[in-house]
Amino acid sequence: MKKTMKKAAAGLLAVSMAALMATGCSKGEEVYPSDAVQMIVPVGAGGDTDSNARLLAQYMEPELDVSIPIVNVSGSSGTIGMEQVRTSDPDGYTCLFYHTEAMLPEISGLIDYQLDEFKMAGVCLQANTTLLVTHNDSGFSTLDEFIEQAKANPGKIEFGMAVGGYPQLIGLALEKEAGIDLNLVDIGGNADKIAALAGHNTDIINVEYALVKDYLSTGEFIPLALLSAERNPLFDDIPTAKEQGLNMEFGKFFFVAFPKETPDEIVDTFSAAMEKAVANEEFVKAAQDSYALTPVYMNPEEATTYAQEIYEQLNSYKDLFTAAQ
Amino acid sequence: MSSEIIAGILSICDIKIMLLMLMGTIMGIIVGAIPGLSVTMGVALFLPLTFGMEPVAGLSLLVSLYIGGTSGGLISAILLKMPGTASSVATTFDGYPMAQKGEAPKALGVGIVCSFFGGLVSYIVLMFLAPAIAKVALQFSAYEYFGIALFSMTMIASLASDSVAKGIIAAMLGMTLSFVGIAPITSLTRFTFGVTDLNAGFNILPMLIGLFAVAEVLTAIEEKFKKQNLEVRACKIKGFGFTREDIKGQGFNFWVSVAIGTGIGILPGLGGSVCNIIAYSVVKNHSKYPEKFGTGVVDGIVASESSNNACTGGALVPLLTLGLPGDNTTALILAGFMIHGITPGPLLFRSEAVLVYGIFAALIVANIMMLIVEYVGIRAFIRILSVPKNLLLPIVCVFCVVGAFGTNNRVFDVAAMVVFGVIGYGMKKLNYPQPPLILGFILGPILETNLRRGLMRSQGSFIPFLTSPICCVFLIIAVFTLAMTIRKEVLRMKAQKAAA
Amino acid sequence: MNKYKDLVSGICGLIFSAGMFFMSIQIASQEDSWIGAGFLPEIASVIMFITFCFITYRGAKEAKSQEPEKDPGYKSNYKGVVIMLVFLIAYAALLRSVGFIITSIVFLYAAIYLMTKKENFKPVKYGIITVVLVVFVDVVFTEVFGIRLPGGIL
Repeated sequence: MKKTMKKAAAGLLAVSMAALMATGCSKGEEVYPSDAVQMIVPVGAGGDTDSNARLLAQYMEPELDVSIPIVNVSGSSGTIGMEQVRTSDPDGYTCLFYHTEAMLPEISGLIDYQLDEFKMAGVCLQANTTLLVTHNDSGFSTLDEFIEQAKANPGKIEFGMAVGGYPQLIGLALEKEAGIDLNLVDIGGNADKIAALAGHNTDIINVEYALVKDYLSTGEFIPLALLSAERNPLFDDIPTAKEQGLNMEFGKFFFVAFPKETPDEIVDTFSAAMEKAVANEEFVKAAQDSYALTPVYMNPEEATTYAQEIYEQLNSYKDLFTAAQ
Repeated sequence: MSSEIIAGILSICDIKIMLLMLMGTIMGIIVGAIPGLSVTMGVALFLPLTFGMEPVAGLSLLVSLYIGGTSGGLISAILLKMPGTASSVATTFDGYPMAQKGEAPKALGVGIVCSFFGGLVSYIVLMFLAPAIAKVALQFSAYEYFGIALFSMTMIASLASDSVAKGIIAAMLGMTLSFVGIAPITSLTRFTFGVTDLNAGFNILPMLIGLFAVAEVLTAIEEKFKKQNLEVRACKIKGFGFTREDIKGQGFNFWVSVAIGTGIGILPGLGGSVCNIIAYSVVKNHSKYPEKFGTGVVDGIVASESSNNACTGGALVPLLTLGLPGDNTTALILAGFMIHGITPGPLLFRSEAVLVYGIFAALIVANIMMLIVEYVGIRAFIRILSVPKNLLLPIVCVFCVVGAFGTNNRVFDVAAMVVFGVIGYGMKKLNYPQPPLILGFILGPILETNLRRGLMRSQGSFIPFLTSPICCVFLIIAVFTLAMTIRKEVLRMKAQKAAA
Repeated sequence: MNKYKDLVSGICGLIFSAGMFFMSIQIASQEDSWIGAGFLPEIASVIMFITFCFITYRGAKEAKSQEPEKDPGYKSNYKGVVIMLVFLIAYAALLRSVGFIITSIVFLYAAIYLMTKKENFKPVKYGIITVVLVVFVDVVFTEVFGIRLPGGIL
């Protein structure tokens, strides 16, 4: 009896080792991709970035015929996740999914490298949904009224933001472009900002449209301006800052990037799959329904150029930004 | 309106959805029981599956995972002193000693039933009082959060069984550990000594695993030659494992813990990890036999498990009424809504009434499923204890390593876990209590961030902290508790001197 | 040995909190406002220092006391604890490079050996349990939960 048990155990062992060998050794010897491609999301699970990554991965998996597990590596304004991708093997099996905020840590001096340390695979989504909103008891209900009041009471009106992040940059840009002086207060992430505004504990915030849809419908929140070049067809009753005389465009674009040394053929293969996913009707609908996003595909070159443009725009506020740190 | 309630309830009366919820509950329990697999991770894993489903199906699955996951942590907490999730930390304090004494069935049974009723009460509160409560939650700004955090810190004293001084040290040490990394708001790197991996600070799960489970393993090795039964007897279970006698007098503990759990859950930003420890300390403070806490009293489990499941209902209040997630897992459930194009917010109850009532129904059903699954499961769980310690503990170590690694996919967390294991072991040998360290670690960031945000807002003045009614109340309670503790400690020392 | 515990931990604590206080001052000096990143660390280190003074004082009194020490009744296996720590550190260090499966098998086997009384140790049975369990955990975690445990050499 003992002998058969030993044999059985040895057999089981051999079989499982063989299976492991088979699945584990195939990476890198055949056509790319032949193994799962890890998509690193440098923020916590839940929230729009994570959600969009999962959406993209879901539609890209059938195109590449491998699984694309989402790995959350959060912390330090996304720099931990970014660093992990930057220093991982350039074999095409680790990539980064992030958005415009990836450029901020370098601008604010937190780290010393920019997006050019990565190889862009492409852009998949644009969020032209950043609104400036206030609550219904703030004393102003249009952008002009707001600017008037801000000029009359310098340093009094509170702009809720997160220090070192995109919202702070937007706040500083708002001050500069409108020539006003606000009280920029750290409140935290989107949830904290919305809570603060709803509780009338702050006066004005920048937030994505999708997160405050209901508040806008009930009138509890009043949209002052959309920070994009043109009105968004999904909610075209909100005027842009531009048409009201304020030159502020602060959207978000979501991209995928690989470590810099990743071979071009691999990046192009991935990018082609991205293009197909973005063109997929269901993907488009899901993106629009969830966060009012605009699916847009840009290939590696276009994406790199576009990112550079955006970087230059954001970097123009660098002095204000570092002074405020 | 009642037609919508009925429609909501009927919407989940579909065999497919029921099966989904059952699977979700079971998966949730498994995920909750294994440290390193967090509820958040489990929900994140299932999120893509919900893309193609009907909203009510997807969301029912997610809430089942949530409920199962929050409750599952008690299994490993009691049997292995490994809190499966941070919301079951306090369950290890008395649950594990009870298991060591051969009372594992009682501990598990009480924990499961308290999880069930704690959750149930909070869901009822959610259903009937949500919008009203939400309005109150909005009044909480930085000042009020600071008040709560400060009040919670005074709870330290009751967590330190022997020496308040050592308890304070442990708490301050915990706070100090929370300082490591990038400072909130101003992003300065603190206490990292150039190690980039420390920039993000310490993750709580490797800390908990190291402090409790690994330290326990080290202690067991040290006591290898102790002449005692290395094997804990696996006992027979009748029913839920406990009798009416066992839970006599727990009523007060239960209701206080549920109130704390629901209340803390409602506040965005504070979740299960905070409430179970605070409920435990409050219950211990009011107990007639506080010195017995930590040796294996049912009260501890009642406090911890009632509050952490009550927290789930509480956390859903801001989510459904304001669109604001109460903790990480509800943030994912929010994503679950957004994917279907539904933004929770003030209008949700009106515009998606049927869905909302469907979710309420799902909560109740999933809660019942959790109860049944765990009832059946107790008998299997107990078997774990019959594995001889010399095998069990090394296996536990491997799971600890997997768990630590799984939090953020870094080996650094495994190293951190080992370090915390040493710290935990050292603390045990030097008689420093561990619970206050956890509390200090969790509350540190909340205390600091809100203090600084409050001061930023008031431009350096402390007055708004005192003029805010809510904050003032908490501050007064904090001062009062501190005074009482000092008085108790002084009296205790006098008594010791007299006895010497 | 036991009498000096509090005294030793107290003194170490004083050194630690003093050091931390100086580091906190350095952090605070990097910012203009007084409510910066160094504020709470300063407060925490001061509270710790004061409390450690108290503990050291008590520890000194205890060390001077003439009470006989209690005999624990067994031989403390400190050697085992140190060995286990070495195992754990090696496990963590080699995890990425050698891979989860091999390091876990080696660690598990070694740990079981460490914890088992010599007469109870069953080499083959434990070996099989070890390998099967580790492979099982790896497969379940990788396939079902999507956590990629380090592949390493394999």
